[in-house]
Amino acid sequence: MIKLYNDELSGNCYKLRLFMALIALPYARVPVNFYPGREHKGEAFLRINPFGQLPAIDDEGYVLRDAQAILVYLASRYDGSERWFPADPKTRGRVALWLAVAEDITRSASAARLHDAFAYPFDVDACRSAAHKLFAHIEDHLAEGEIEDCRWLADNAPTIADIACFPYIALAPEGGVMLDRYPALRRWIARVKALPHFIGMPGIFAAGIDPEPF
Amino acid sequence: MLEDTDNAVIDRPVDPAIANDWFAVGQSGDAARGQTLRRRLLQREIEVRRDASGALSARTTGAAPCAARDHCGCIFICLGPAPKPLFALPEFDAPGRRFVYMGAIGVHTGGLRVVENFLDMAHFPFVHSHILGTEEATEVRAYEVELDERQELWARGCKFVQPMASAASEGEADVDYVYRVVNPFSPLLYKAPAGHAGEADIIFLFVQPTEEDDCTVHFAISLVDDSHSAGEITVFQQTILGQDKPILESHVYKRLPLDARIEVPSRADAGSSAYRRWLRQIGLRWGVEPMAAAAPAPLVVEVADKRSVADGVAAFTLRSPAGGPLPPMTPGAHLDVHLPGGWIRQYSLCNGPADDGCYTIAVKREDASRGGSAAMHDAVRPGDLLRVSLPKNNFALDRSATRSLLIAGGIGITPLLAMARHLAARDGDVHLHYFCRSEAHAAFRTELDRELAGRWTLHAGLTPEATRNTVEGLLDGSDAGTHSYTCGPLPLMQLVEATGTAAGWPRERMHFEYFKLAGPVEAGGMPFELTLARSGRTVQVPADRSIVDVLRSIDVAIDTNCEQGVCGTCLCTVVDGTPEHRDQYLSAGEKAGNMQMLPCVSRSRSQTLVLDL
Repeated sequence: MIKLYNDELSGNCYKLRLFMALIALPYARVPVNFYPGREHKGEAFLRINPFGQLPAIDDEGYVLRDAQAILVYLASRYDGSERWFPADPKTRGRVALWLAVAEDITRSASAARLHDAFAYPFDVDACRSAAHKLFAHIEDHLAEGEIEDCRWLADNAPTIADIACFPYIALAPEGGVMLDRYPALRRWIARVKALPHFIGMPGIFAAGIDPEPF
Repeated sequence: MLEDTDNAVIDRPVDPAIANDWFAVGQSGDAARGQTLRRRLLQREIEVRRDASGALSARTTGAAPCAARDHCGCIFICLGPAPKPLFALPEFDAPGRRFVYMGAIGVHTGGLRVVENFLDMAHFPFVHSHILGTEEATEVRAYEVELDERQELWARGCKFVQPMASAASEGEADVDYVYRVVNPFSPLLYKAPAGHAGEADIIFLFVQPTEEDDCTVHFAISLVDDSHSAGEITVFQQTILGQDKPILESHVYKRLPLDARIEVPSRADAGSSAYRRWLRQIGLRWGVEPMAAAAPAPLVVEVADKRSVADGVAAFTLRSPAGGPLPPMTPGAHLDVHLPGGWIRQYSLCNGPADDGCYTIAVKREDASRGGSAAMHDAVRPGDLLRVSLPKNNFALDRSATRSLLIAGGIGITPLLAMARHLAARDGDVHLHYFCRSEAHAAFRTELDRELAGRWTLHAGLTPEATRNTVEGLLDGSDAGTHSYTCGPLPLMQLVEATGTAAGWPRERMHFEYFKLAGPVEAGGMPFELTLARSGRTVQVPADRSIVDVLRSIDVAIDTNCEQGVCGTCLCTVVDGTPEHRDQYLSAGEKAGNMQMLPCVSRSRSQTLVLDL
């Protein structure tokens, strides 16, 4: 069975828990306490991932790190329907683009959350302002998409691009990046939460979600 | 975050209610020998140093030293000159127990909110579903709460059925809770399977309040469990705190309101009720929602549309974010709109009778504004959410009127437009006279032409002389069934009042809606004695303080809003004595009657004044 090296409060670990729940893929969690234990920098975990970053998986000996890389792997190997990582070259290009945006979101919105919740010594104003620039762009993209009836980031159906970007957008208020100004983004969050088999995490509620609250 | 907090070091003294309390600022291991920690506590920067011998010392930056102590695995600081004894926890050192520090977690809300949530059990089935409760069993059974002789708050006999009470849980169990609050920011929880009190997990949730609306939570546990790693225990407890965090951070009042009219605890909140009562008793103000800012704002609306309706005037259509109807309004009503930046402004509703799914307001950009109109014009966009009050009406139509004369000046059109639309829709005898600087400044032309054809007249660009002549013509020779309603710039209001009075209009048939003060409110006056009829309390109102100000200092709750004698929120009944009216809300007739007054600006002519409070 797939082993997920996991911290419950990590949005990057959560995106894999979420994706595996959505495609009903069984896995086992190996807890690695990120804060305050810093177990991801400990000797045991560094043998799994010398970069000392969560998450990582071990699929019967195939070890892979980086949340976006793992999403690509899991979708390619375990999603027989190919809907989460479609083979169409143009769609695949757009998915790759949004996987890169997910990294930008981690560097900005997630960094602001690390500063606020775990006292990481980052320039929080710079992080928040970078997050707002990204979110304004994503807001426009989604709002324009809604006019064309294309309600997901990379395609007219959900893909791993949505899963990769979702956690740290939904958690952004914990870093003082409020979403009040982004109605299309909030509608997209509601759509993700309405996907069949959606699960939440501490900070993201799953229960009682109205798919189209606005 | 509230706008009025920033990172500046303040020189205001620490609130005396908590000055001599101890606050956790980290775990003991955070400061190694020879190391200095920098922490923020109660809006002050603190340096904590452990010397080579292991002893702790602390000082506020650039100021006096303060007390520092290691206790129960944590570092505690007391800023006051006479530190209270630290709480006793003999179990901490009992054999077989170990201590796990689960981190310092930043939470964007006031520390008192965090403590209150910690004391609450009713949220278990919903926020911690399938862990600390299930939606099939939501009842909170009765429990005992007391404040003991050491001034610690205890809640005992709390029981809850929990599917997974801890990392060591082996399935659903009936769990005993004892809550203990050793000071307002420092609660503990003893949590044990029923009948096993000696093996209780003792959970520490020590709040390091940084700002009034922001804090860091030191989260630790003392437990008898040698089969789980610190990591496993931490994962469990962090999941719980992580689930609470978005709830805590989304509170509308990040400071804790102690006024029962803002938030009313239910029977299930016995611990919270006792906690709030205790905070009131010790007179805590820091971190507490002040009464003045507590005007209820029960509605959240979404800006559905923003459009220009005249030169410098923007109209906003507000809808329920969930769709569906909004609470009903009557013509002449306004909303208190809570604006970005903390402003609260009142805007009249322009709605017609068919607009029950929305509220429409219009805002003129005022160059000399205190910030409200600029915020509406520059910062508010379609899709934004705004907090607003329920519609309130200080300018209602008189139902006995057989004819209505509406006089609008400039942006004063807004309440009169609603009145005209409602009256016209039921074919009432109404005419609207709209005075404005130029045709380009006339708002809502489309609505006026469509719904009020033949019932409205535009008076654009009149000279003061021509305006006076026109108003004299309008007010000449009215019958007893005619009521006039005026809203606009102060000179127009004064002109209508003077002209109408001279033409023999009684004050009861002339209605005015003031947006702004006629002039600066006169401050201060003679001191007098104020008696509160309901409690029998008597206080002195000194020359330089208002009644509202004095009431707040003795914790008598009174809603206020404008505090300039305009809005009428604080209106109260006079039982005895003669008020000195300084407001613009009451009519001349009401003022002469001396039955009501606005205590935010008005005072007393008599040496004693008795109010129904």
